[in-house]
Amino acid sequence: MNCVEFINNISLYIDGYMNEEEKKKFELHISECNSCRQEYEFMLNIIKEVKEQKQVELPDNYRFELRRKLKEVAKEEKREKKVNWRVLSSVAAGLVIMLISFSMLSSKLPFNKSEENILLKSTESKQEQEITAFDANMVNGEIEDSSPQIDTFENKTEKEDEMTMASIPMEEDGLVKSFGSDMASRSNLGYGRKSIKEAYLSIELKKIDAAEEQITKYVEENGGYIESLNRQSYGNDDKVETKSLIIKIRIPADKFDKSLEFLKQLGTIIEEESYYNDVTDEYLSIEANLKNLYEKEELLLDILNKTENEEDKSLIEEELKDVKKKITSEATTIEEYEESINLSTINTELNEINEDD
Amino acid sequence: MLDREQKLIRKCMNGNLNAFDELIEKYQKTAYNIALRMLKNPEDAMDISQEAFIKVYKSIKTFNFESAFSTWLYRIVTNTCLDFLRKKNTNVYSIDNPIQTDDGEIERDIPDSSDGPEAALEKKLTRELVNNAISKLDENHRIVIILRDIQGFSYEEISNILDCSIGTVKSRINRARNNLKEIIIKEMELNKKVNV
Repeated sequence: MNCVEFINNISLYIDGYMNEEEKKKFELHISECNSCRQEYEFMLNIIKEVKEQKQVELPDNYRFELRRKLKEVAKEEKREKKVNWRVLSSVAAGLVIMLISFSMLSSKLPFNKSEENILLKSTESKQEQEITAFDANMVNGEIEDSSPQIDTFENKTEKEDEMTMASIPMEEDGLVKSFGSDMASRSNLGYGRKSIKEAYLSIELKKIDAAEEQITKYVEENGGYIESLNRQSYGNDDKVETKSLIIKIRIPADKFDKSLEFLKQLGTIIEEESYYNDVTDEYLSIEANLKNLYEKEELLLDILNKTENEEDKSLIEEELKDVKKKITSEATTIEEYEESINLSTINTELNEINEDD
Repeated sequence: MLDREQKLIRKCMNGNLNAFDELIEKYQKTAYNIALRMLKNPEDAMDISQEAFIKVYKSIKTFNFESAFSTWLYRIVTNTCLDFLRKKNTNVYSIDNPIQTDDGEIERDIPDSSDGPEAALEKKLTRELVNNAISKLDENHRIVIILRDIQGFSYEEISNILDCSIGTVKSRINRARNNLKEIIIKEMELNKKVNV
């Protein structure tokens, strides 16, 4: 290795990107060439000094500011969805009104042209008002869910296809009203109880392998999965092997009863037990707790924003840390509940009877 | 990639802000420090590093799990810093163009100086000296010094972050370190003159 090659390879050597052969050549040159050795040591020194540069701590308000900005972004994204709905409904309403006025013209009702125009104008200006009112709300930052319509739009976004012109009743007056009530009737009705369903079955049958196949297929077709399998086979000198299988399946809660029916017809039922564990109270209390924690977090962030004193600031940040931890833990618990509620569990023990018995 | 992190990322893809908060927590300090070294002032560093995190949030749905999340994130941080610098510097030279200084032009790839390293070794390599020298590097050289020597990323990670080949990484690191060395030597000579 000559000096030029050496200089070009200093970095590779220091960072360990050389193979054994190259390393040996490099080290040999160091021992032979003074000026190159000095170059190498100088570079080593520089890099060492650079490595020891300390990392700066995050500024005090960094995390708070970032969360605030992210929330804004998240709100913007939600707003964009909402705006589309509002525009859609006012466009739809506008079209409907135009159609009505057209049908009124053609059916020769006692609306003369000038009145009709006024009607159109007034409804149009009303829509404009609605839209500007909406914009004003946007500027203020918080959108109040004042009308039930918006709620339903959010909840039933899949139903947007249903809101075609055909589905809106063509009445002369109160048209916009019926449009509204139509929406309201599609809102979520009632609050279902939340329960975790679990069942234990013990079945005797002739062919376990075939049954296992059937169960696997059934579970797949019905949006569930097999959580565990526990197989036991034992043999006897003069008898055919008797097998037993414990299979634990998770199946969507609304298919619980149907699945039990299916399993029971596989063989003779020896034992059967079902549990409906109503967890509504626990669930609601965690949900309420979570809501409180979120509100507390908002409040603390607000206070933190207005606090000047450094000591107070750090106290509040400690509180915030604590609240964050609790939020994460409660949120995880709710998720676990949801998983158990949505997917019921069925434990089935299959015991094979052999022909000789 | 850690299983836990994967789960968090999937939650973020569904728009879960809390999960995002948890996901990026361990990357914040490093991201801030990279920005600070690149942009040289704390206000810009905070703004730009946060802008990068917001970009991460907005584009997390496009993450394909093929690379490591950390390198994907730092790529966004790096690019956001470089974009900001390019917009700010109305005169941005490519690495090959000479720099104008009061003394005249200096080629960017600075050749060996007259005062050899032997003399330089006698002088003290102070932290301040090194700091200053790093901030004088061209942004494309500065970023590799920051990533390799300050943050300790491997060549592979750097090639992912900068979206270039490992060969390019090797040569850039070499050039960056050489330039750094030359700037340091120049600084030392200047100091020597001043102190005398």
